[in-house]
Amino acid sequence: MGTLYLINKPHGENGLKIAKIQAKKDENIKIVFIMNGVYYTIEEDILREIKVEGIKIFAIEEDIKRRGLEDKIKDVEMIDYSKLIDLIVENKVVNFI
Amino acid sequence: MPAKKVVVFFNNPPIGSLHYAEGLRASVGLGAGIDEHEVVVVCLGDGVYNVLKNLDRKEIFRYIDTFLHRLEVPGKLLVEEESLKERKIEADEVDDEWRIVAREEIARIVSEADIIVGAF
Repeated sequence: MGTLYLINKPHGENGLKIAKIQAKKDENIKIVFIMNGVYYTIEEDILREIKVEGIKIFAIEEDIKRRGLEDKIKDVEMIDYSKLIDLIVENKVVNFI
Repeated sequence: MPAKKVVVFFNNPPIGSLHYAEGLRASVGLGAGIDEHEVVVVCLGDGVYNVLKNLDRKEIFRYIDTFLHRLEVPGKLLVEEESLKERKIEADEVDDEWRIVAREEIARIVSEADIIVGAF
């Protein structure tokens, strides 16, 4: 079982810091940016620091489109809420919503 | 159901919302139920303002007292060292009930936990 961080603003950065440390010893760390947390996906420094640790990154497509961010997103796998449920069932969830 | 290891994250400062009091109340409840879960509270980010020695605790003192001293499996109160440093809070400003731990140690605790609650 992997670990899935659900990341929203304003406290998501606290979760990202823990996730990056955990990823140094655990290769099965995933992050889903959700609701206002999708704004993190356009912050290049934050994304780069996460990717360096080998963390798999997802974002909720509906939340991105509602905020008009779809043309700004790079290298992030967009998923729907149905896929999110699959991920929640398959992983241990660390909730920073 | 066997007892589980539960981590509760406090992200919010203590004043202006019910996060602190309700988070402590929920943590006591997790530890005091018939399952007697092993509960660890971790303050990080702006949540570290909850641990200041001079904070007015008269409304939540009984929760802390119960959480630390009256549960079958005593709870633990932890605060992240890096978040304290980022806010220039010194160790001697931290209330004695809280233990300062490094981010790396918190990541290890998360790895070993069964349930993580980050909503407070």
